[in-house]
Amino acid sequence: MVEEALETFCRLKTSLGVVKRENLLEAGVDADKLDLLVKNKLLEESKGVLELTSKGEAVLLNHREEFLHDHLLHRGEAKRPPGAMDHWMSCHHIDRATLKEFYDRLKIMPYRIEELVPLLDLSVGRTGEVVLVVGGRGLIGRLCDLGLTPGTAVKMLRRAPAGGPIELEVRSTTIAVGRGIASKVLVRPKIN
Amino acid sequence: MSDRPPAGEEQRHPITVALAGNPNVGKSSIFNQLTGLNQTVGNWPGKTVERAEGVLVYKGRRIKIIDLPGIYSLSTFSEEEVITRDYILSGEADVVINVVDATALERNLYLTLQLLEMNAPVVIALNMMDEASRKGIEIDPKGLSERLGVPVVSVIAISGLGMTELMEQVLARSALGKGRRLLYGKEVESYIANTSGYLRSSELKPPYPIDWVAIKLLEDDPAVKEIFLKDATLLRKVDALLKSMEAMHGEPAPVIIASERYSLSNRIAGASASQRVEPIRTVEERVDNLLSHRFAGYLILVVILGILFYTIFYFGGIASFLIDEAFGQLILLLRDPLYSFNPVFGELFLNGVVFGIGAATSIALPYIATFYFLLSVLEDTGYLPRAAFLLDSLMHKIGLHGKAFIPMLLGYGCSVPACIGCRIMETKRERLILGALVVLIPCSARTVIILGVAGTYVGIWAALAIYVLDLAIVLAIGRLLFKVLPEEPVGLIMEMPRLRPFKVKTILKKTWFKTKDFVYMALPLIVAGSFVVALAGYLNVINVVVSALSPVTVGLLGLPVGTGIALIFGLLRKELALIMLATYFGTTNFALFMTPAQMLVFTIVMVLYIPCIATFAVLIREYGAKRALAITLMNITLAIAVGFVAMKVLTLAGL
Ligand SMILES: Nc1nc2c(ncn2[C@@H]2O[C@H](COP(=O)(O)OP(=O)(O)O)[C@@H](O)[C@H]2O)c(=O)[nH]1
Ligand SMILES: [Mg+2]
Repeated sequence: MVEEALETFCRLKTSLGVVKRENLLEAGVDADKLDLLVKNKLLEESKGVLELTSKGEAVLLNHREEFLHDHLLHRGEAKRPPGAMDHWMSCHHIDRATLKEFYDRLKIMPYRIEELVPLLDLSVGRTGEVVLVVGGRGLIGRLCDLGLTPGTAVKMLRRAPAGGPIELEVRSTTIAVGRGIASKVLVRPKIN
Repeated sequence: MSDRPPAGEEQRHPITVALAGNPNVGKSSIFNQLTGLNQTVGNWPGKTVERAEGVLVYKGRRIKIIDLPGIYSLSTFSEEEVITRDYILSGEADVVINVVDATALERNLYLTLQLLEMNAPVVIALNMMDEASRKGIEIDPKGLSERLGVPVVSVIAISGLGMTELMEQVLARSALGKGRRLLYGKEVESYIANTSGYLRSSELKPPYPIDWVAIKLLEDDPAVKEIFLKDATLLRKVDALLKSMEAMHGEPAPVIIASERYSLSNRIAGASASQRVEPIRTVEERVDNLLSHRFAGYLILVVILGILFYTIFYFGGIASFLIDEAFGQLILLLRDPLYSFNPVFGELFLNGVVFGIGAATSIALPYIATFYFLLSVLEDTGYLPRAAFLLDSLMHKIGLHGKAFIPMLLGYGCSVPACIGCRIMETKRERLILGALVVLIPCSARTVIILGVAGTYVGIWAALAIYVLDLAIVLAIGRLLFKVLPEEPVGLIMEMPRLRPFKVKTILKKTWFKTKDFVYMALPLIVAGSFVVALAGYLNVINVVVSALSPVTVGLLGLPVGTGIALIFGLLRKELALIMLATYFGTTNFALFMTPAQMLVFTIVMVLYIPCIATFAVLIREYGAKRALAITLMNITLAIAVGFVAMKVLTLAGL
């Protein structure tokens, strides 16, 4: 999977600032694949430093969008349909401008998309870091006001059965969040 | 706290003080401590929806205290936020007491920072110090005060600790004028400075602190942007700044600003508070686990609601009976002397005034008082939000969310607070749906009809069946309205207050005040109503009115013609219906003029048919005349339709 390698690149870029060939090799990307990436102009190598090309960016975004759709937000449904944008807008009640904003954030999201899970799936007692919220400004704003800004650690306290809400600990307060909302907040679980 | 000043002195410098803060941090408790009034206090977010005012005289100064609804932020997502924001901006308050929950400093300071952005003259009341120390949280109020640049007073609102010191600081602060905001990170500050620069060169000069306006513009706040509609250049320049800020952070502008505030409040809270000992997993936590448990939680919910209704029926029934008997005796006792004094006066006084007072107390005291006593327990312990948590998915089926349960439960007491409580919902649409539903819930007065007619003469199972039928209708109508008013329902986002033990004294006090309110509201109407019926009976005009209603009562519903009297007086108050019926037929034994089937139909119609006049008034205030009328018409149609169907079904069943 070239996409996986691009995800790894992205994460390294965030933590290291500058990514060199050997960093990627250390992180488990094999040399053949790396060459392939450069050959296909997804990555660009100059003086040993690697950069994402705009083509690479597009491939990465496409991968993230697909992963988001098939594994995070619409699991168990059909695979991502061709006109994904419209599909997203109608499913999540957001307009085109908001969706564009979301794409922008998705593009520069500093973790591997594979690391994220919907808040709803965080197991009880686990802590995660808020990364992305799929929703309009109203929802994002309300969550921010209660302390769920990006990067905030949230702890799953309990969940109600049968489509019920979940309870979280955020900044020493307890907050109940409906299931619909909790499935649209993507978090990166902390390694215990 | 009202040491009387020398005469005349108090008029000199009146001070206005507003209480602002997050929901459920003790604002109303402090308000009550300061003013000696009884603003509703309870352990769930969203109970204070109306601004309350009180006056305190301290050291010869008249101080007007204003209790604002709780908010998390000063953006404009909710009406409460708009109200508070406008109020603070108006500059009417000489001092803003920002009540802060010491156990959740970081989250609470987020609002504090926003108050400071508006240059509000803030004094911080650091409340819940008792709970903080119980949780092993140590706070350094002096350090906090230095970091925020405002006075900080530690208080415990429930015991009144720190109130004098708080007023001292308020007095001192009131002489100092506007406050100052705190600075955020360098980068955001440079954006704020740039925007402020643009603002200074704009023709438009809104009367607000310039930095606040700048921050709001950078937050993309629609209300503030509107001020500058005429200055397109400015908006364009700000938009360019905003876009570059967004590009830099990769987040929407409002999120960037919110994060900035939180990072500052995190730093200040971190430096000013420390966790002395790790909090032990407390009993409270285990109870909480049980209450929200996936099986036990629901079991407990059912048991609690069961106990609630059983106690109301049982205890209310006994007390109601005893009071009725007592008034019956009183009337017997008074009859002869009054009639011999003057027969007309005697008739009107006894059947009007004495009977009315008796009826009001026999209803208000037993049912209302019992309901509010038990409700207060649920309220003060913090159980209501737990129930809302458990019932969230059920409420989603009718397009609402868990919080809707709270006004619904209030509806079993009285529709008026239930309608006002609908403001707990976030959007207009949700408020309207919920408002249309809560008026269908049998309030205490309708409980009296259910128990007094169906329960007494047909059987307790019939009464229960009517409750279940009513609930089914509520859910069905909710489902229907959900379909008719399609829109993405707002999801639940609700802070869960800590569980707290309740104090019997507080509960009794609350029960007393709520019951008193009810009696004050109901008694005059009931007495006046009884008087009118007694008079109309005496003048023999009642039959005219009643027969005018007979196409509905007799024709459609198959009821005795006299039940029209109940429909008419039910408009005023539901409990009047029964009393009037008894007055009209001259007996409280309804079996003498109605068959069991008729009693069931009558009860169903009375439960559904129309909100009483007080509820109607509140509906108009909350939703406007048109919607209030629509809700009322829906009720009437529903009552007649369900009553008609019930009549047909019962006739077919051979009852
Ligand atoms: N332990 C403790 N409880 C408090 C204190 N102040 C308020 N409370 C409780 O906190 C809850 C919310 O109080 P209330 O005044 O209604 O808060 P408001 O929503 O800010 O008006 C109630 O159950 C109060 O009894 C305090 O200082 N200590
Ligand atoms: Mg309050």
